[in-house]
Amino acid sequence: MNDSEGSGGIAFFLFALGPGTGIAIWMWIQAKYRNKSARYKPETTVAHTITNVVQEDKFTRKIVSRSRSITGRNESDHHERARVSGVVKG
Amino acid sequence: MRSTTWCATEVQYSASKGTLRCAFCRYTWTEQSLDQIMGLSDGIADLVGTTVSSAAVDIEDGAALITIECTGCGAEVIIDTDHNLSARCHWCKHTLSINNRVPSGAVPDGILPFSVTKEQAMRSIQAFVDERKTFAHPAFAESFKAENVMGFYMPYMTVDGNVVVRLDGAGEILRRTVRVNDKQTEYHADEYAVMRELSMVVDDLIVETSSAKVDIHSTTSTSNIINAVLPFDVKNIVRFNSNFLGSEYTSERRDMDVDAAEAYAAGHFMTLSRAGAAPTLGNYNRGVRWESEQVNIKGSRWVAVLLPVWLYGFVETRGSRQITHYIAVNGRTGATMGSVPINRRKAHLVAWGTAAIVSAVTWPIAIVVLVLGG
Repeated sequence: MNDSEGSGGIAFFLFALGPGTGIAIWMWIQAKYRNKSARYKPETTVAHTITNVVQEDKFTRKIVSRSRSITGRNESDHHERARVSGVVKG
Repeated sequence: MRSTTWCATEVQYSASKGTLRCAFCRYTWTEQSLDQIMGLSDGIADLVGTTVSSAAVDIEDGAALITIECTGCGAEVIIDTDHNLSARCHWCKHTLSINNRVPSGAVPDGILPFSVTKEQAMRSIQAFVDERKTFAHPAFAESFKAENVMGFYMPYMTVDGNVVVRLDGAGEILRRTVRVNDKQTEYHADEYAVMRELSMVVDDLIVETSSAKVDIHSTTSTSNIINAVLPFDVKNIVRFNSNFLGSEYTSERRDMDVDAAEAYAAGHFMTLSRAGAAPTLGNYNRGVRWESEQVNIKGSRWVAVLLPVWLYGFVETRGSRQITHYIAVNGRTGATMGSVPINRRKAHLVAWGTAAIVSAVTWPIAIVVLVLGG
């Protein structure tokens, strides 16, 4: 990395610091006052026992990506439903 | 258990003691635990088909419990006319008129009586609001009175489930990174088809059964707040007795049956399975994208119950739109959650004023850095 690129990065950080501070304050106020994401959390509060887990992991292909993580990553968003979901009984 | 029907003309509930008391003979008692009566903790793994509790029957005409439609907000509120001949809507505080009586729903199997008193709820709500005074909407701050909190019972169903959930998706494992140039990096990874199938036994999932409040994405109210004070100690639910409503409490009418509530229960089962599968995905350092979730409900058991909530409501008018903000206190645990309307002008001023002040310092420095580096 040469000097001009280094100073460019520092300048960008300094330009973004002010607006970033404003956005952070606004989001903090929204989160503290409105609690829009508050919800029932059954995954941490409901007694449940997992009695059997079947795992299958099949290699499909090698990929090259410019993204740090898989597109549409959602394994941590437990309460968000997948693109396809269904219920059967019996 | 002794009955008081031969003498009791007025039975009172004490939230601080958790007991019913006959005002005539002063006999004090508690109702039986529903869990013990119905064996609700037993045999969940062996459940097959849908079992709906048998106690849910239609209220007969002339019973003490009547349902009144609120002309203010349209909510259907149940009151106990043995104790209560005038009542207010717990959502909008509108005075209810008996002229607006509507057909009652079904009586619940069980009820979890209040143990948090009104004074305790007032203190919790006051503390919650005190922590949010700085940017509170002026109309809210001026009108807020903790004593306006109202106690009511929300209709829920507890669901035991014997389920199998299958998750399908894709996962990626990073093998190497290649720096293409100073600004771009390529990530070389292996992609896998990932499948997990989990068998689960679920005890006492709580599912809301008031259709007006089940939509947590509503833009006109903050009813997500009410479910955020869950869970309740549902093992302590007792057999339903209308005297638990008394003169102090009302109840929301249940208008969703098992068929309507099943989709929400299935969603919660999927949430549980997603969390349960998470520990098995450690290898996928670039993450997993679940694309399909299928839940097979092999057996379920449904019990209709009323759960206690203290509620404070405030209607914010923003242009032509009205948003109802709620602050709720769990009537058993005291857990408090709420939405406080924001003084947007003040919040904008502080947020963007701070941004301007910081920028006034950092931008000249940034320009100097660019010029010198340039």
